[in-house]
Amino acid sequence: MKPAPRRRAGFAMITAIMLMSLAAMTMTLLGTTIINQARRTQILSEDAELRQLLIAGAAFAEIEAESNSAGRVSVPLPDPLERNSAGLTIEFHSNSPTEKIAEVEASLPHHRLSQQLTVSFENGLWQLTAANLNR
Amino acid sequence: MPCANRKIRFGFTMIEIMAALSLLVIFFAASGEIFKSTVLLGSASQNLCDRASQIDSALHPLRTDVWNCRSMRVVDPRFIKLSLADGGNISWKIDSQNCVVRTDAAGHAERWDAIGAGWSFSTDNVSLSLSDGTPIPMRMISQILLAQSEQP
Repeated sequence: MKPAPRRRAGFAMITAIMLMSLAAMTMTLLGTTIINQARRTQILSEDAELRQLLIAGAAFAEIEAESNSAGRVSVPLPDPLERNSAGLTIEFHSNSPTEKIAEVEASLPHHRLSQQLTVSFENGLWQLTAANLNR
Repeated sequence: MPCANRKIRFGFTMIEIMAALSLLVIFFAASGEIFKSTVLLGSASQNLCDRASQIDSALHPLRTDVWNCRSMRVVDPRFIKLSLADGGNISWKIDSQNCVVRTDAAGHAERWDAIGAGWSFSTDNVSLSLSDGTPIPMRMISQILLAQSEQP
């Protein structure tokens, strides 16, 4: 009687599984690194955009300080920013007749940044005298 | 007449052995390379993340200081002095070991080790540019100096 043929696939299969596991691990690591870097780039880009909004907010706050505004003011933004759900608000608090504190907040859908401005009346005009960036 | 009691021997021919050995060598070489790449990539990825978070943690206070400064003076390309709106003075220095050191008005120093290789400062009186040797430097605006420059 002819003996049944023996299968000797065990070693090859283990080697193949090992190779595939290593390749999968490398791909996972590479993917994680790329995703982390992409997320970091996006956060930095949104941060830069929010700082630009804060700079615009500071210019607006100086003008509004002259017009004796009080309370919360929403700054109108250009259409492309409005479409991205960006927002810029300024809230004034009056410390004294010659000094105002303006809380400027810039926001994007998942990210916000604010600063506290001190606007003082010096040399006949309202001037920015301090700007503290908050996170 | 064929021999009736001839033994049937199970075994491999030389060609089979050589083919199996060649395949083994190829498999081991490939798995060694993939393993090496995995280890190197893991280490490089970790280093990159660590370095990025270290740089971010140094840039955040630098940006905040510059944002609120009334004047900035570049003493040399690796040393700047900032006068803040509250009257305090802050200095930022990159030392010979490439450590970034922030010293506040009270003399308290904060260090970030070995991240400042190739860094240099320059200013245009409104913003501070931080170059790390790449073509585009990082620009940090002083909100107060910018507002002053826009006034009539």
